[in-house]
Amino acid sequence: MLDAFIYLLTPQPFLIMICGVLLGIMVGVLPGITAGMLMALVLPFTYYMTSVNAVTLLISIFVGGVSGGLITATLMRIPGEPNAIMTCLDGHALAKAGHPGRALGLGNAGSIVGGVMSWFALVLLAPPLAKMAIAFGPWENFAIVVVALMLIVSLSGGSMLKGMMAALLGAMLSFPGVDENSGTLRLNFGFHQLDAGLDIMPVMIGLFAVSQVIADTLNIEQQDTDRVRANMRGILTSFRDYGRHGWNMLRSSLIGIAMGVLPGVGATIASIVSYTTAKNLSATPEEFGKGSEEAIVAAETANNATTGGTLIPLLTLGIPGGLTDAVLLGALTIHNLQPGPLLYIKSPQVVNTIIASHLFAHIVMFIFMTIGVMLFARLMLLSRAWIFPTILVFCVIGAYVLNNRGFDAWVMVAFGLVGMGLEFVRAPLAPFLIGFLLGPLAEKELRSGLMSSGGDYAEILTRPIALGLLVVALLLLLWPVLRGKRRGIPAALKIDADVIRLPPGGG
Amino acid sequence: MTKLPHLLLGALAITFAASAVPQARADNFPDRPIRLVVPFGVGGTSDIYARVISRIIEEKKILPQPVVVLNVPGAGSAVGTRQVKDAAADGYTLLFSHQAVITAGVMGLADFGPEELEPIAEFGRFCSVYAVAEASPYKTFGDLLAAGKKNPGSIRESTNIGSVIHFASLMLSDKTGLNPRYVRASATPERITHLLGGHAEVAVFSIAELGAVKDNGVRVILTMSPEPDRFAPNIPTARSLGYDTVFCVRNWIFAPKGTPAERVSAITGALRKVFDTPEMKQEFEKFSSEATLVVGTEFADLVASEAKSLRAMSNLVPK
Repeated sequence: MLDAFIYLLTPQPFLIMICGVLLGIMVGVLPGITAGMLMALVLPFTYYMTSVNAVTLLISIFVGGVSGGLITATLMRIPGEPNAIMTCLDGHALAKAGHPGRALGLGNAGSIVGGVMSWFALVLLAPPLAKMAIAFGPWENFAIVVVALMLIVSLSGGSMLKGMMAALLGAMLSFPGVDENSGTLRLNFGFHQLDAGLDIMPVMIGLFAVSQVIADTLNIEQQDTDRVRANMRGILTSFRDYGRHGWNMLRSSLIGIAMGVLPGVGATIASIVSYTTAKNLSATPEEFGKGSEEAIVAAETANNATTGGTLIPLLTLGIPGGLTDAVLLGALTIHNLQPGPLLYIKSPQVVNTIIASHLFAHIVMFIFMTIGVMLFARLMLLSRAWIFPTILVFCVIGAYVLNNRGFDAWVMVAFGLVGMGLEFVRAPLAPFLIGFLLGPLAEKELRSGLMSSGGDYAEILTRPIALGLLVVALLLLLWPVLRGKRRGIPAALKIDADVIRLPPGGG
Repeated sequence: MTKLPHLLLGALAITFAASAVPQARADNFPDRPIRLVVPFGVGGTSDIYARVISRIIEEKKILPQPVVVLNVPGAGSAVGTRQVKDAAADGYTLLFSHQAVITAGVMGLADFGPEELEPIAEFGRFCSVYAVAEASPYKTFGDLLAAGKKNPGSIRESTNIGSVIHFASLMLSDKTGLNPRYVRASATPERITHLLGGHAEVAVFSIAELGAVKDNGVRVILTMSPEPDRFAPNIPTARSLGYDTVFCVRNWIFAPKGTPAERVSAITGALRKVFDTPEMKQEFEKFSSEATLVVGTEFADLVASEAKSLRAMSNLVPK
């Protein structure tokens, strides 16, 4: 391991790492293009590198990308990466309140802590955590998705009814395409472009980035006065802050690591789960969405913690967690390396380099983010007339490059309008996202479980992990009531009923 | 009188010019990069093969222009295949797929089949294997079959519903009578997880994935190669056990229908050159694949016969 660290300090790998992190951060800042896409794009260039340098580059881009989304999320309420969506909510609010430096500083602090914690997990706990990944079959995956779905209850802001509607709408929009459990097409209405369904990327970028840009453009006069002042005071968080947010960071890291280890879950869901857990356990939950520091820390810590988590099943079992991992796996295969238990034995230097570059990339990222933020803040001073078109261009490029077809770009534009519509009716966007992401996952896993048990629902009662998670989900559902707040579920529904009641004497 | 020679000269000039242009185009093919569409995601087996071919063409300057790999995943390869099908038949767009061009049609994901495409070549094939977890009580295929017959429905197979490996399993079950219960898994890693975690008893893998699979606590009990596969020695083939089933995933390259014959032969010529390089032979070894190159009418017949046997399974696929 020490060799790997020393190797990374030699000129060539060090330069590669710096370039990788910088590219990753840039890609993280730009909405539309994700770190995964960039990794896929540089894959051909990695042929000509040694395998250790290739993995260093890819891991650096990966780490930089996960962290870079923080910047535009905070300064412009535009998520550069899907995992920065939760940071958008509170980061931007805090920035607008006059403390952009503090928001960025907290996010950055969360990122480095989450990254380092997940590194420790990678180094010390890889084998047992990998076993956890295997123990999760369809029923367990279903149960954990149900837990995450229950979070809608706490994320719905004022109106749970609107939250559920948004979630259902999101789930509905995820249905068209291939039904994996029967291998057939559904709900494409004869329109072949929908055969692959609506991809998460254009939907999210449209919903959050494009809609924000359009909304801001419509308010452009107001924008110039409200603009976030580039006051970067507070960018370096003090030790006291680390202490104050310590529990939050620890908890969020654990959530991120766990979500990273489970294949298919990913940084976005991790940041959502972490955010809502923090909200539920917070002393000031009403602050969430208005600039709560805890929220920023929770979201950013979790999404960086997934980076270490996803590497665990990849290195120990050769099982990729998501798209970025799949590219990493492809790169290893091209270089004649087979991930799995034998990789530790056959090519230890590669494994050690991956692990070492994960930590180093985080350190480099932290430094760059701290310095670079000043530069980015300057960019915010540029006229919106320059920034918005550039952002839109990158969004379109990203949407197109995703699957090499124009349909995704149109989907993105359409969801930009949907996002505006949802904001107009004050429907919360986060539940929409949860429904869209988790609805199909829940369906898929439940049906897989049923296929496995031959249609027997009771099978879930025989599986301790799944059962335990369902109990947790039930507790989450009843949380508002258990918490003793007057505004429980029945109360929330009642208020809405009053609002939609017909006026007396009306037709 | 002087007009006639001018007229004749003019006519001759025009004829030469007109006939020169298409010829020049054929001679200059390709004069811009060729797009090789892979209808699967980055990092998958087909994607890696395509990238290897593209790299060798670039390194050895087999063609004057690069071959660029574009991933267009979705709907079991139907989205990317459709894009190639509808592309201009000028030889600048090619498809790198496998029998998914047939199975997508059987599953209803595509309303077309290989008949709507121009066959170019088969470029390597790797056969499928049946595997169980290392810790499984079933040591041989015989054990598995016996358990399956005793307790119908007790054997669960993890598979990608509607994909070529699902069809491989169906063809095997047709002959053996195993009829496992299918559990959905999205990709190879998930199938491995299902086996290791006890969520399924058996799964199909390709020999190309054997390296990853073997070291991860998965044991191969049967291969579906025509003869004992040199990459999986000591493992019985389905044929040797008395079940006449052979299934190999074959890399197939197609072009849009109506691509001119001279361009097709330019492409197959380039493929043959790639095939003959020592680097490609090494790659075939690395992916535990049979180095096969089948072109022309032989290839077209091969596609037709695979289509027939796969389509015969359509009534077995639950829909």
